[in-house]
Amino acid sequence: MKSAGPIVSLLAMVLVFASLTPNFVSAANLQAILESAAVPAVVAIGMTFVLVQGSIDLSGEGVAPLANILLSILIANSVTAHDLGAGAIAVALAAGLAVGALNGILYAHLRMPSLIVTLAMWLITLGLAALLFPSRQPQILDGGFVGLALHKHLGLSALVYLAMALALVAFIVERRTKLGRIGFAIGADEALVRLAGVNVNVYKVGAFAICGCLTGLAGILTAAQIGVGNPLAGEGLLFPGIAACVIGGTLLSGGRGGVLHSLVGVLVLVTLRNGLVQTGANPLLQKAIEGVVIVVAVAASTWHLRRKTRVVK
Amino acid sequence: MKLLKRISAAVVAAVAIAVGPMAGHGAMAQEKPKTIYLAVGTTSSEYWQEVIWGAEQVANSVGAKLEVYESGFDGQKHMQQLGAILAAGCEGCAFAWFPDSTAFTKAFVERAEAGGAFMTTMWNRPEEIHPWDTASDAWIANISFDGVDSGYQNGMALCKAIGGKGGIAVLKGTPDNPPSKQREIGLLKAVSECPGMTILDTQIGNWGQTEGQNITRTWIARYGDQLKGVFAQNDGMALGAVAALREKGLVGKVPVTGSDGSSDVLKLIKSGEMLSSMRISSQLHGAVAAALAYAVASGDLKIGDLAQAQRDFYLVQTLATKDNVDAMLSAQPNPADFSYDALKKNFWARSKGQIPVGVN
Repeated sequence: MKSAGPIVSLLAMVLVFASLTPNFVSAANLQAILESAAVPAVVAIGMTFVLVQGSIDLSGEGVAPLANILLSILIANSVTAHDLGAGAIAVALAAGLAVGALNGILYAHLRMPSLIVTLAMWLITLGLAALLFPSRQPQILDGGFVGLALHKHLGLSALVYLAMALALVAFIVERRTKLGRIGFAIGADEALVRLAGVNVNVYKVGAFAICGCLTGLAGILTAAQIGVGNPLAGEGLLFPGIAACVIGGTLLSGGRGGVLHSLVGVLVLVTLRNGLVQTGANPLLQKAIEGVVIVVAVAASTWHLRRKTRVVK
Repeated sequence: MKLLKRISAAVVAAVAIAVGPMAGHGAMAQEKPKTIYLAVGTTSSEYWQEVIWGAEQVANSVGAKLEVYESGFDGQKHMQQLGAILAAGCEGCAFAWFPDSTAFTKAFVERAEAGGAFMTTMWNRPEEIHPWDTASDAWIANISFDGVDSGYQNGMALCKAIGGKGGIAVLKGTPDNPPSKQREIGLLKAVSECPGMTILDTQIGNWGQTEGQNITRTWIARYGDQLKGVFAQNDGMALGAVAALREKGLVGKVPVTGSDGSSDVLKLIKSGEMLSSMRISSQLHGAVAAALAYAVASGDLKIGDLAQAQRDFYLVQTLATKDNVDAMLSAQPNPADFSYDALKKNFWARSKGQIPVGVN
């Protein structure tokens, strides 16, 4: 019950918006919310693996554009002559995975703070994306790929089902595999895990690799949604990704939270943005309202922890 | 070897003495800049790539080098870059600069003045300052496109497309940004002339595709059939709106307008999936900004001789619609039209007049 704070916040928000405008709970609007949540959810799932270890990954707004641009110039498109089809997806995913693993290796083996390593990687990957950008946005001509976002099954696109399936797999990895469980232990008390004779670095690199790969996937899905390759497409992915995890109850200090928590956090943020448009809130006030809700939601979800630890960092 | 060195040193000295007075005379007539410095928001957009291309044609035609500085729309970054260039000593340098927001314009031109350099600015000028009243020895001109006209023409096209009746939704760029403000003023003028057209809602999409898509998706759910059209203040958000409409099979049925006239939007206009977009001459923007900076820095133009209408002006633009889009798509810019000599004949040949009061 103590960790129900985020869910309660989400339900409370739904009730408030539903009472303000009947359209809010319409099937069409719920579909719109889920469609908008798909890409942030993929980012937040990856981020969760890093956060529970007490690390952070800031490279998302570079990795996603890099994957996005790699995919869009390698798949059938209006600018370059390449047409690798599914191969383009594989290359883009591999790039995300490689950058993530590199993040992990630099952080774990060279003992550099993840904040600095991933900040540098953000700039490196964004620079690479800008370098790869042809002089005009490549329009993606591969109908099957763009169809991922366009064709609806029971009212939802393949992107939404993909995000749901990923969440399920991530949840199983988190709860049932060593990678997941040792990740929590590293976040809670790394020294203890080391004493137990576990090779901590392997799990650290693993978490960053997962995060990098999923962030790359987010860049690919964005390309399917907007139908073009654009290095600016990753803008605004990072902050909601981290905020969603924290709102959901994943601690930045590690050891607590999880994939399902982060998903609730994503829904809180997406529902909030949707609801503010639906209820016709002043657009200039929306950012401020978002900020207030984030503070309230995090306070509500971590109140019991604050009292227990009496420490605020 | 030593002897050879001594002889050559003596020859150099003799030549220097003989040519010295002439070289001094040449310096008085002002040295031609070897570099043109261009500041852009990002290199990852078609508009900015075309601006760079335009400036490049000017630089190539005078044998100068073009150095491009990207900020990712971060004014602080351009500030540091400008500071570094000027610190190395850059008297008489030519800058074609993009102030990332109006908050930075004054700081940029004043820095150029302090460094003894010359600067043209693109897009962002705060309402209360002008090249003739602020850093007027360095700030040559501010060059922009008429956002009011863009908002008005796109708004009227939308009015016509929906038969003069129905609700439209507006995707705004960023608040307090001159192009965004201007396009809104223009749209409101169109709405006043088309009383049947009402604005259902205005949202801030920050010029981005993903945000435009998410907001439009929410509008479709909220307004359903009531939503007759989408007015996007730029092409990026318009593309997002089209993507959201496409998800619901509404593309082409709900008209969308943009502004910039980028090639992917022109293709959508051709296929009937978008209604219109204001096509700005981005190559010309870069070329004129670079050419004016070069002209003053090289002594071909004197700042003091310029009239106000030559120092704060709009460039030509055309509304792209289904009727003229084919010509636009097939037109290839001719590098010769953007050479310094071609532009020098009349730098303001394609000016659309002075920027009026109250739109920045």
